[in-house]
Parts: sequence; C-alpha cells; structure tokens
Amino acid sequence: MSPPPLLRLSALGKRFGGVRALEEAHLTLEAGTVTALIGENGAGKSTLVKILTGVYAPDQGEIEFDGRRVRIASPSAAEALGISVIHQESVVFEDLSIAENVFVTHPPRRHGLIDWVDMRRRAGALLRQLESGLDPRALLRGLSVAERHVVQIARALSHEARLVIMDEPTAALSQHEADDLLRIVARLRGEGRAVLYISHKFEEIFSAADRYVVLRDGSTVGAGRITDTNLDELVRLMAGRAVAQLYPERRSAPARSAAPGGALPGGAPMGEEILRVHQLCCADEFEGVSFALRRGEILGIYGLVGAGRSELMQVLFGLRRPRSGRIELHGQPLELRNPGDAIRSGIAFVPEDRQNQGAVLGRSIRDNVALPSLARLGLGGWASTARETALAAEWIAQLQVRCQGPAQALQELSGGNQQKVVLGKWLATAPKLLILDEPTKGIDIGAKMAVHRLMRELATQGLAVIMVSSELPEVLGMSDRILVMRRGRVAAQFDAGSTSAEQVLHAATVA
Amino acid sequence: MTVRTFKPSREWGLGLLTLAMVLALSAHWPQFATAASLRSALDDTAILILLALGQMLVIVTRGIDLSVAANVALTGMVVALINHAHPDAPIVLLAALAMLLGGGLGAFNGLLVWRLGLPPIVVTLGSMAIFRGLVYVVSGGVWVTSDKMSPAFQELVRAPFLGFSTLSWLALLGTIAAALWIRYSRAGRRLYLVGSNPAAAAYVGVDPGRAQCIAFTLSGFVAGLCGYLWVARFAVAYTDVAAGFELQVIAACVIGGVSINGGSGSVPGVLLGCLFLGVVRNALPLIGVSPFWQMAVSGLVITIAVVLNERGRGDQHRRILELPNT
Amino acid sequence: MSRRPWLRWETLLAAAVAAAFVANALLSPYFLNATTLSDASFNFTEKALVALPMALLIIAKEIDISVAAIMALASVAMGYGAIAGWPTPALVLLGIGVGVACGACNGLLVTALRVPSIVATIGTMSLFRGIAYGVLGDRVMKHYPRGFDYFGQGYPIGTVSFELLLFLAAALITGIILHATTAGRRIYAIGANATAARMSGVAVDRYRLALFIATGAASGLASVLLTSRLGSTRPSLAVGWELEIISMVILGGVAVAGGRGTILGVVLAAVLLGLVTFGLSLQNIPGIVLSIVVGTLLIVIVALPAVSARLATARAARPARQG
Repeated sequence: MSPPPLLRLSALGKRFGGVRALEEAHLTLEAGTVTALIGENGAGKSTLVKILTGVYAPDQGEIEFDGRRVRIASPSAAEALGISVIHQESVVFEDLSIAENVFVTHPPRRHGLIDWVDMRRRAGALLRQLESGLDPRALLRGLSVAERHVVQIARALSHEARLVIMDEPTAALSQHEADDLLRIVARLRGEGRAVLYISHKFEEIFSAADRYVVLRDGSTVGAGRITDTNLDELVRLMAGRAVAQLYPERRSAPARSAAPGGALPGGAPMGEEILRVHQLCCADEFEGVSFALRRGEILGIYGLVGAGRSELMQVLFGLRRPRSGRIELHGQPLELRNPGDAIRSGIAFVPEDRQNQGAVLGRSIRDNVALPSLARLGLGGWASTARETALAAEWIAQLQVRCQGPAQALQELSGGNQQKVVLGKWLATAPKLLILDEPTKGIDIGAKMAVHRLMRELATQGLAVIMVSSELPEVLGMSDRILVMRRGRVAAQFDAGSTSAEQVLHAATVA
Repeated sequence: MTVRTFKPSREWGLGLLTLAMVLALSAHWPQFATAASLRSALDDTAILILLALGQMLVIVTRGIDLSVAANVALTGMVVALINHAHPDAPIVLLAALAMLLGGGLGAFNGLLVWRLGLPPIVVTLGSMAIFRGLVYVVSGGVWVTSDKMSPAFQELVRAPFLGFSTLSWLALLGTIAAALWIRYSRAGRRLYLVGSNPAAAAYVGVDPGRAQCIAFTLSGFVAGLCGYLWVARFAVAYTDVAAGFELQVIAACVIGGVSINGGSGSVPGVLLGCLFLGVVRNALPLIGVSPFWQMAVSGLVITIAVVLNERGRGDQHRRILELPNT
Repeated sequence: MSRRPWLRWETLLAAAVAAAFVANALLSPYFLNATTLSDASFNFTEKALVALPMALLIIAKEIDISVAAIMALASVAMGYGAIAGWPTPALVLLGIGVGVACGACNGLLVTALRVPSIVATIGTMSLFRGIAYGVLGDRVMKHYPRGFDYFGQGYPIGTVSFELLLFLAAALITGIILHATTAGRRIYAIGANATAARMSGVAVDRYRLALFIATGAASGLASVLLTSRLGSTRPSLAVGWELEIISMVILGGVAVAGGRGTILGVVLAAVLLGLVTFGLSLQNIPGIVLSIVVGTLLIVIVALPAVSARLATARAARPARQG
C-alpha cells in the first residue's frame, strides 16, 4: 500500500459574511513534488493558503496531513506540522539580524537564555545550504527582495518544513535571481519536501512544476500533471471562457484619424514625436539614455532589477533630478523639479507600489480620483464636491470599477479595481504621456486583460505610453517598440513586431 | 556585505563626544573632574537613566509614555505620605510599594492601549493629567517636606557603598538588568519584534498589544521606583515634582539612538544619551550660564543632537521603494 | 469608512456639550447669566484658537508641542516692545511675527532637516521657553499701553468678548479651508498617505511648512489675547497649555494617525472643555483637579468608539453561522 499523500484537502469551504471564498476546493500534494496553484485573484488561492497556515479555519471540509485528519488552529500549529510559507510581502523584521529572523519563533536557548552564538552558527549553515553568501549578523534592512526570500526559505528549513508554500516568489525578482530561486525549489523537492507554488508566470510554471491545480471562484476546476496540459487549457480553466488571445492586437499603421471622444487637443495627427530624451544621466543610476516616443505609441521598457528603469521613470516624472541631459516634450525642453511640474506638462505616472505610492487607501474613490485634478475641478482655491463626485462617477463607469460608489473607501476594493481607480485618476488629468510601472502586477487575469485593452485603446486615441514591465510576454505582446536597459544604459531598442524573446532577453542579460 | 546588529559608529560617536566634553570641561575647570563632582553628576543623572530605560522599552514597541513624570510624582507623594504617617515602616518596603503602585499605573496605560487599541500618545496624555491631579487630591495640596520624612527615608538614597550612592548603584544595576533582559530573554526580544513589524509579529504568534502593555507596565515599575528615589533625594514631595521631565526622558532616548518609529534602540545608546544630557546640565552652571538660560541651552543642545541623529539615520529607509525627500 | 463615524463623533460631543450645559445650570444658580457665560468663554478661547491650525497639523500627521512655549516667547517679545514704547498695533504684529518665526523654525526642522515633528518640537519647546526664561528671568513685565488690553478684555457686542468673536471667525475660516478648499483636500491626503500625495502632485513639504507657520502664528495671536487679558508677561505663561490644546484637538475627533477629523468637532470639544472646567471652577474645585477631569474625558471619549466596536463584533460573532 502506497504511503498517503502529504497533504489532502477535501471539499474545503470558507465563507466571509455573504461571500463564498472557497467552495468544494480540493488539493492533494505528494512529498517531493512541486505543485503549481493557479487562479485569478479572488479565485480563493490566498484563502486556501491562509487556511493551510492556520490564519483561518475552514467552515467545511477536511484537512489530512500524512493521512491523519488535522485542525490547523494557528500559524504556530501550522509551523509545528511542518508547513511554512514564503510571502510576497516579506514577513520579516528589518531591524533584526538574519539569524534572528530565521529563528524568530524558536530561538536556540541555553539555560533559558537565548544562545546567540548557536543561532548565528545554525543560520550560517542554513544559508550556506542555500548557496547564499549572506552574513547571519547582517540586518534585514539592507537586503534586496531576493535576499529576503532566501532568509524566509532558511526560516522554513529551520522548521524542518515538509510543505513549503511560495506565494508569487519571483514577483519582484530579476531573471537571474528568479533562476536562483527555482534552483532552490528544485533542491527542496529533491529533499523530499512538497512545494506549493503560486504564480502568474506561466513560463515558470511549465519549467518548474510537476503538477498543477486550478482554482476558479473558490472551487478546484482542474488538476493533474503539468506535462499533460498546455497554456491555453490552463487559461481557459482559470478564466472559465475561451480566450482567443491574451493581448490586444497591435496597431500596424501609424497614422489614423482621431477616434471619437479621443481627439487630442489641437487635433494633431498621430505618429508625431512627442517626447525626446537626450543623453539623460542620473548619478549612479543610469547614464547616456536617449530615446524618442511618438503619439499613439507604446514603448515597453524591459530590463532586470537594477537596470535603472524605475529611476529613469522617476526622472521623467520629476521625482528625481538628473545630473545632465535633456528632456523635450513637444520640442520644448522640460525642467521638472517635482511631480507637480510633470503633471502640469501633461505627464502621468502610475507607480508599481500601489499601496504605498499609487493610491491613498484610507480615502474614498472620489478623493483619489480628484487628487491630481483638484485645481482644475475647483474654482480658485475652492473645491467642488459635486464636480469631484461627477468625475469619479465618470471614470468608475468608463473603467468598469466594481464598487459601491464614489464615496466608498478605496481600501475596500480588490487589487484590480484599485488599480483601475489609480488609472482613472491619471486619465482624468488628460495626459499626453502616460508612464506605467508594472501595471498588471498583482492583479487577476480578468483585470489584467482589461488594463491591456485600455492601454491599447488609449494609444489608438493618441496617448503616448511608456510601460515598464518585467514580464517578457507582456512586453512583447503590448509594446510597439521595446527599449532594453542593462546596468544603467540603454542596451538595445527593438521594433516589437520584428524581434523575439531571445533577442530581448539577450540584450538585457549579457554583460 | 556585513552590517552589524547595532551601529557601533553611532554609539561610539556619542560616547566620544561626551568624553571629549568631560575632558574639555575638566581641563578648564578642574573641579569638574574631581571624584566628588563626578559622583554627584552621576547621582543627578541616575533617575534620568532609569526612566529613560523604561521609556526605551515603550518607544521600541512603537509607543510613547508621556505620563512617566506624573507617575513619579504620584508614587513619590504616596510613599512620602506613608512614611510621614508611619516613620518606622521599612524603607525597602516603601520602595517596593512605590514600584508596585507605579507598575499599576503603567498597567493602566498598557491595558487601554492593548485592550481598546487606543493610541499611546492619547492614553498617556490623559493619564498624565489624571496622575498629576491625583497627586493634589492625595496630598490635599500640602507639601511633604524633609522635616516630615523620617531620616532613614532620606538617607537610603544617599547611602554610600563602595564609593557610590545607592542611587548610582540602582542606575547601574538597572542598566545591566535592562541590557541582559532585552538581549537574552524571549520576552525582551518580543518587544523588538513588535516594534519592527507588528503585523509580522502577530503572524508569528506575538501579540503586539500585549507586548506594548508589558512595556508600559515595566516603564511604570521603574517610574514608581524613581518616585521614591526622587522625593527621597530632593527631600520634598509636592504636586509639581518632575514637571516636564517626561520630555527630557524622551530626548535622552532619541539622542541615544532609539528610533521613534520603533524596533530599534540599545541600552548603551540610551545610557550615553543620558550621560550626554547629564554632562551638559552639569556643565552649564560651571561655565557660568545663568540658571535662567540653562533651559534654553539645554533645549538648543537637544534640538541639535536630534537633527544630527536624524542625519545619521538618513540612509536607513523603512521601505525599499521609499523615494528621496518624501 | 462610511459617513457614520463622522456623525457619531460630533453627535457624541454635541450631546456631551448639552449635558455639561445642563449640569452647570443645575449645579450653579450663577451659571445662566450672560456675563457669566461670556466669562466662561475665556476658559477656552485662547487655547481653542491654537487648536484650530493644530487640528490641520495633526490631520496632516504632524504635531507641535512647542505652541505654549511660542506663546511665552511672543509674550516676552511684546513685553520688551511695550517697554520700548511701541504702539499697540506694532506690539500685535510683533507677537504674531515671533509666532511665525518660531513656526517657521519648527517647519524647517521637519521639512528641510527631516526630523520627526514630535522630536523636533520637544527640542524647540525647551529652546523657546528657555529663551523666554533667559531673557526675562524671574521678572514680570506689566507696562503695556492703554489700547492693548482691548484684545483680551474688550466686548464688542454686548457681553460677547472680542476673544470669542475672533475665535469664531477663525473657526469659520479654518473650517472653510479644511472642508471647502483644494488645500483642505490636499491636507487630508497628506495625512492619509504623504508619499502617494506627493506622487499625485501635492507639494507636501510646502504644505507642512505652511501648517507649522500657521500654528506658530496662531500661537502668537493667542499670546496677544492672553497677555492682553492678563495685562502682564512672565516666562511661565501658558505652561502646560500645549497638552490641553492637543487634548482639545483629539477630543474633537482628529485621529492621531492622520487623515481624519473636522473643525466642527474641534470647536465642540473646545466648548465642552471650557464648560466643564468653568463649571467645576464655579464649584470651587481647584485647577489641578480639573486636569483629572480633562484627562478622564479625553480617554473616555476616545475609548467609546473602540468599546462600542468591540461590543458590536462580540454581538455579531455570537450566533454561529451554519452553511
């Protein structure tokens, strides 16, 4: 008789108020396998993980670990069973050392006192096991996201974890770091542990996972061996509908008459150059950056973490001062001292970190949408609640934001809807240039496709768009032209229609 | 890349600065460096050291305790009154009582913060006023002067032991105890967990509110002890004892490198912060600064020290993506 | 964050004000008298004047505990101006000017030197009051010109004092700024998320500096009123007032975490505190005991929503939902 699976979830159900987060969710994990957990946001993945890690208790269903029924009552109970999780937002303590972080729940002790020497020694051993050169005495604060993941994995190993759950682990990682991480995943599998791998990146799933489980609307709609399926089928299972293509069609002809409702001020013809950057340098971050952008064009900026993309965008938006170089908008040189200058010049910027930089979560949808446009909506210094509400309502409708109304607090919305509100606030400023930094990070596939469709529509109407993205398929699928940055310099510029993933990747990585 | 657990550069800088000041002062005014004068300076600073250690625990957990000085006044008045009514009661018992009462007052703060989730600044603003008012109520507005206190009450504080007064020894013991506790006990480490990342702490099973409550209670214990020490040392108890002192305590912590955002702070740093302020305070009359100007000078020194502190901390951003000048 | 919390806080305060009014009227036969009521207002008008910009500051997630020290310093400056024979208008400008300078000092520490405001104002509090002590020592200055006493002791309309009128006007202006102007919207955004506000084009540091200057100016103006009312200056002027002013703001519903609060709440809280302290003084309860009442009131009012929220969740959790 074969041994029971490491973990079996049967008919799990969980409800919050009137919302069914999980219903008839099944999951079976074997030791020594990597299973990909796939699904849109809201499909129930995070609820499932929270049940496994003891944060929530299921309303229905059973959990069997090693063939025994268990109740996971708290994170400590999960840890005791051997279930560990590596989060997207690091559950780490920045002011403490790596060693203390690794052993945070179970510091080694001698005579009742914490044994720092032993802690450092054991943490060092675990780090070496993960082929990391980090010093256990180093504070978390100075570490990169990839390094923090390594610390969390070391923590999992320190618990003799039998099941390691990884939630979007490569979301903020460069390709190189992601490869390192996947090597660690393979090692964990080789050691007989089970890995539950949650990711939106299909190329990773197909290369690293053995099995897959698809969740949709709280239920398991598909599971099996990864070799027995393909991208189309997975996406179909996730979205519940046939998807012809993931990305909207690129425009082929550069010039077109203005679309209704989307005419540019002055009715300028499409395709005219709107932005020119010449030899832009920013101390230590990037240098010699030159490129041009036309109306109606989507420029995708690709590069590894540390290539200088975000810093370049910050300079374009007035958040950072360049040391030298020129930026010209409509042929006029731009002197951007702060975001206000950029906004007045017609530049809008949707940052990557929505929670801390993009949105004011504690305020209402209306307050968020109106914020950059307050001067325009009011009269003199007076504010007009009526016009702000109307503006918010207009964009809620246009972008199909699912909410209770303009007065609802932004933090009550889902990630995808929050991103729509952030987009709405910027589009309300009628920008000439829209900069998007990882616009579809952390949102479900439905919202992702809506954002892509919107981007293409905006471009068609004459908006110039710069999109920074770490997802190669997105860059290839959405851009008209691709600019690749490597170590602070422009490595290459491609026309998206006539290049390949290998070329782009090569330009971004080869030293 | 090796980054140490605490930034020795900061503490060394502060220590050297304090030492330099002492040397400079004693070069010009030799009477400053006499054993007697240094001992007296240490006595002066002892209470500040104890209170600052307690406050450090609270600030590390992302709290703040504005009620410590009022706590000192209230507990001091209570034991002074008891001593006046029962001059034969053992002083050690009174000191223990003061600690207990102080701890109770601290727990009052802590429970409001923990159980009701009220912001510490609001709670201690309110309790500060309440405690201060209670001093008046308890004493009827009457001062307890040295003639009403038993000799034993006043002498215990001054009693010399191996060259240092009990007061200085208590400060020393308190420092050592605090340093050991926050480094080697799980309960001490939990304070840092909670201050560094309360959500993550909750996730790993540490209740942030509970840790804050513990910090407030400990701060209260210390304040209670200082209540006895203060009234015994100055041989008087009245409503305005230690008025405004809570701000000196907080300043000493900040100068000593305790981050107001929580999660970091070291005992050596706090000790040096107190010594620094103590040297400044003792130097002023020596230099001939009129007593009326001492507050201004000390305020200026605190402001400058705080600015330098923040400049030094400048590269430590709490969030990875924090932008320049936000 | 629906409308209802807004309603609840201000309604609670209004109910408390009504209760205090009724209690005072019942407890003292002298209370329901126009002159008495007018005198009662002096208990809070000066502090409440400073509480108005302080509320904006706290909504923007900053704080200024040096306001009382600024008042003392401004008063000392005016005293010296009076001795030098300056006329009343010049003295007023001097007082407000010192307030502006101190506020700018605080503002620059926070915006240019990036010191957290609570820490910066702990330092400047000692510094400003220390200068007042250093310059004046233990003397008292009393030589103010004749017209000067109007601010604190004048009654423009019947028994309504100049101070009260000034305060009401200032409350109206501050309320309009916070609730009806774009500046007010931006202040709320800064308090809720300064980084996101900055990235939406709000000149965050400029607003912060302006708020510190406004708070300083209000402290200077309040000092004019207080000095005028007392007719004298001593360096211990307004000692402890910073905490009463901040209590007024917090009692008024402004969250310490920033991003929330209304001017109406602050005005109601000021009136409530004024009524309570005045009523107690009519009963001959000494001032220091009043602080117990103020402290308790602060904690109770802040605790009420928390307590009721807990009761609500306890009630909701009890019936176990099936299926």
